[in-house]
Amino acid sequence: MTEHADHDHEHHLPPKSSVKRWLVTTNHKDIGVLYIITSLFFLVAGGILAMMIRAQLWTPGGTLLGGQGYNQAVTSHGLLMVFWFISPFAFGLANYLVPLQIGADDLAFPRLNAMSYWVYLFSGLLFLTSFFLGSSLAGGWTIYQPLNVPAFIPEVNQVGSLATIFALMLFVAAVTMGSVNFLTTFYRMRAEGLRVRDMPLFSVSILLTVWMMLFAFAALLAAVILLSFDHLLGSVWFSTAEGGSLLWAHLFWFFGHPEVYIVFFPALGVMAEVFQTFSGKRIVGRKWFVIAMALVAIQSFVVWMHHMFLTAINLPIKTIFMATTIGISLPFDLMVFALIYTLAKGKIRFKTPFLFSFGALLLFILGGITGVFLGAVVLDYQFRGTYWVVAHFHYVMFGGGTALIGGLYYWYPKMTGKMYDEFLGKVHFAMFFVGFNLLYFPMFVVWETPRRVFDYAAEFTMWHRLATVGAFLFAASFLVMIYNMFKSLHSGEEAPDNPWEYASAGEWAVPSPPPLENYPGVPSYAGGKLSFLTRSEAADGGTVVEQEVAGTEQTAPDGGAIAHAGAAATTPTTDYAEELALEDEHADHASIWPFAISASAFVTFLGLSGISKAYFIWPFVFATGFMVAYFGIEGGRREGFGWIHPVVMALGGAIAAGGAYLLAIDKGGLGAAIDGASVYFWLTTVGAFMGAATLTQLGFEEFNVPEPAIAEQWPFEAVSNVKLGMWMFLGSDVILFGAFIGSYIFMRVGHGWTDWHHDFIPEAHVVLPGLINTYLLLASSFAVVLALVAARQQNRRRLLGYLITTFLLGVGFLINKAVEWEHLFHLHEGAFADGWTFTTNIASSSFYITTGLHGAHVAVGLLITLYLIVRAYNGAYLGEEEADTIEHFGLYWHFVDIVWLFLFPLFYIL
Amino acid sequence: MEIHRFEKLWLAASLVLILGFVATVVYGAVGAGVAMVNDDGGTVDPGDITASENFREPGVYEAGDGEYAVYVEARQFSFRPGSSQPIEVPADTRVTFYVTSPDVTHGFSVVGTNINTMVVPGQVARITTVFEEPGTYHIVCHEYCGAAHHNMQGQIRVVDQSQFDASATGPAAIDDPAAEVSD
Repeated sequence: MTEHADHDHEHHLPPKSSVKRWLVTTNHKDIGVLYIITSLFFLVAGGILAMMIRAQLWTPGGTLLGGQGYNQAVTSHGLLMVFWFISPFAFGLANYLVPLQIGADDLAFPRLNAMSYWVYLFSGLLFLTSFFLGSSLAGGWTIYQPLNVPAFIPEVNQVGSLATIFALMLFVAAVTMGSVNFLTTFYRMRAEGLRVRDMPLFSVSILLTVWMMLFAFAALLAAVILLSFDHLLGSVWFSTAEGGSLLWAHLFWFFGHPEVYIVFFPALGVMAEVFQTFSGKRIVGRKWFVIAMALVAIQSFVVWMHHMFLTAINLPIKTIFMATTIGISLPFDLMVFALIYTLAKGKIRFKTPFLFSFGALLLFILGGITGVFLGAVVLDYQFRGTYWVVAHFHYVMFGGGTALIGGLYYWYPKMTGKMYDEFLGKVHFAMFFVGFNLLYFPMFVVWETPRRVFDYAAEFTMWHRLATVGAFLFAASFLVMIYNMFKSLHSGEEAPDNPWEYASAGEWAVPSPPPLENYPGVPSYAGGKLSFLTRSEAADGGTVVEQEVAGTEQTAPDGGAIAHAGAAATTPTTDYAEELALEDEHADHASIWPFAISASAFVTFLGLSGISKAYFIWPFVFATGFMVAYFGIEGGRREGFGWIHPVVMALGGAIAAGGAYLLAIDKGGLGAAIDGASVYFWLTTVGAFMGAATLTQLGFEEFNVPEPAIAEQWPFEAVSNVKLGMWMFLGSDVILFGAFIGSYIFMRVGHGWTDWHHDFIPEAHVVLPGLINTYLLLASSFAVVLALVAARQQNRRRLLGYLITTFLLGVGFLINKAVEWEHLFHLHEGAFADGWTFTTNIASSSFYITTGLHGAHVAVGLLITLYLIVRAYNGAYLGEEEADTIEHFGLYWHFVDIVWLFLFPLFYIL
Repeated sequence: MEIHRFEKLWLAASLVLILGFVATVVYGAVGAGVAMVNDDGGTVDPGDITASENFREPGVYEAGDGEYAVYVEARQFSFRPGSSQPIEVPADTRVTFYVTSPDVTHGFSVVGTNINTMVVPGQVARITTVFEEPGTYHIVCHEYCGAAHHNMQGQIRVVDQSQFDASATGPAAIDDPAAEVSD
């Protein structure tokens, strides 16, 4: 242990006993532990709400919580468990294990990983804060509309409701960062010889999960952004009579159904691993198991309308969705049979992890079969809105949770270096399993109880009391687990590298807990099993040197499949010698900025929850001015002053001063403006300034993450980590904009495509400003390309010149847009005597918010351009490799440009 | 071909399950006698549902020989008719419910029957059924609709045809000439 501590110390990472360590760490194992602990905290929060719900249901029409309180408890319980507990719990395990299983020394972007975690934590804290701001959201976890727009929320509850929505938005941001990070890691950092399909099944399940997350959560992000603008600026997306309600349902469930599998897949991965280990058999039909999972991942995106069978969607469409829904159970049947058959063939050892995983399988079978009934349109008339549904999804979701808890026991020795107490583990399982079924099975028995109300037929009372008793037993079982974990941490037996006979995935080949750098050398599967290349030997000519890996009998990641991998694997050659030398370069593991940025986001969004419409934009204007000036200051301080720095500082000052001037005009004097500002305005401003400062610091921080010298990177050998990450991010951005554009088209078709223009849009809304902006953006894209060429040719002056051109064109775009908006806001024409603003109608809402989202992308791009300009002035980015940063920024900028090419015809011409 | 005993058991069990499933679906579609919610209910302006001919005076109307149409407005937090006075319909007749909402999404679920729909503002949910047994049925709203959601309930009283005809205190005049009922 002391050796590891010393080792950590070399990397400026404080020891684990220090609080500071946990604030600055970017190491995947530390962050995995943080995720697990935090998610368990939210499990307790959601669990307390569940206890309150069950207590209220002790008698029909209980009075413990009251109407609003009950609605709030049910809504928050759902949101907390689905978003803040179960997925992050799985991703705690994934964070810890995926790099170990695939032979990477960390995730591709360690700071981004830390940021995912901190944003997740702070989003949860914002959620909990919302309870104290009047009321958190109380309209159901599905947030159906128009119930959850301000018109239907009492005044006193609006701040809290918006805080809840922002909490969700921050959470989605965390998820998106995590997805990009994991995908890049999976495709770029596998050990030599490890094909995607040969990864251990837990890693395979996580890979498919993050693919689903990348796209599904983008749709949720779109929905949540639209909803937040309905709150913040009074746009009318979801209060629009024609289709607002259905629009939400479509967006939400397009996300919501894949979410079920996002929650469940990691659990399947755990089950597969645990079943293999404790039956001593490789999983039956492994290839088909993986194919079935991939099928489900794809099909999950075409089943969402089964959540809407009781709306007036026409029957043929419902029938198609019934077919896809029931069809999706088939691959699951295959997986269930594969798991059962694996057990039937093996010799089972009933350890705690196995008991939980096996319990999970039983629960999932029951949950799955009852779900098939819900997929049939006609049966929905019987079941919808009843406890049948409640029981079904708890069996599925917490069935998955059961396997994940098994996973926690399974990997506890690896993470802590101590064995848990087997007896207490079994006690936990017994209480858990009995409590679970006592809690949820009665819900099937009295399934006619209506959902979402706390009243039920008197003859059901006995069953509901049984469920309540079960709930408390179930909750108590977790106390046993927590006690076990604490006790074992202090006085548990020392765990060997591999405490489980037959466990063969990569994590068991390293000490428990693994050292900071994970592996004693460069891991390789090229020889058909896990071995470690030492650097000098690899440098001597690339011979694969196999070392006996202590404690593992089978060293292939997954017990055999890898034998075929040899042919596809690369053999180390002398070329590696140079690259391996790079391996020795110092890797960073500590940065405070992810924490600081997330804390700033928390303050900003807390402020935004209560800010008034008239003040919404100003904190960001001032913070932008500050950020620009700060670029100048930091750039000069770190890299030497020159003419560019005062110019940039002056520009920042001008933005802030101009903002203050406009605000003063708007409010009749600066004094009046300050008097009119609420505490929420100041909170937002403080948060935005903190964000500006911390983001700048992150940008300037030296943070070295060596890319692996030898890695299996199919199919992205030729793409660098950052570039691949950028593409992944843009992929999710495509869905985000796609959802915005889709929403616009949905609403427009709902109203009547051609009437739209006539009914909603003023004469003054003309093509010209859009056309000018199209030219400006196209020209700016061209300038970025020239900047890239200049950077590659190491021509600093031309690089600066083209970057500044890009910047000016972008600023021109935004100014032109501001003039156009200003004009439309203050119209006095016919039907639009009060101007054409966010709140006027659905056409104005969709125009401002869709092009506004695009404008925000442009503004972010411009800030990055300024940062690049400041850095380029001091000679950054010159050279073939160094120019990559310009190229990555170019990808983003061209994407923003292409989006405009869709928006321009849709919002100006058609 | 040799089929293992376990596999035979599995096959038998799955067949039973599939048959059971098909039977339930068939019963739900045919036996329970409820026409499914489709998109033919039409739409109304939720801002002003009384502007629609059919919802000016929600209530029970005779729609033909032995056929009745029931127009119900679901709003925060009551059904009209249904909550303050029960919906009274005769047994053994075809009853079609037209339900809409002027504010938020509600649920319209008649406990113990297959009558169950979401009531989306602006859309008219249309469900046809036959009540065979006279008695009192409960309507609940099972979609969150606000703070007093749990109080949003109603009743349907199914009576014999003779009793229905005799009852002059029905919720609305049965032969209301304004009733423009389309099927």
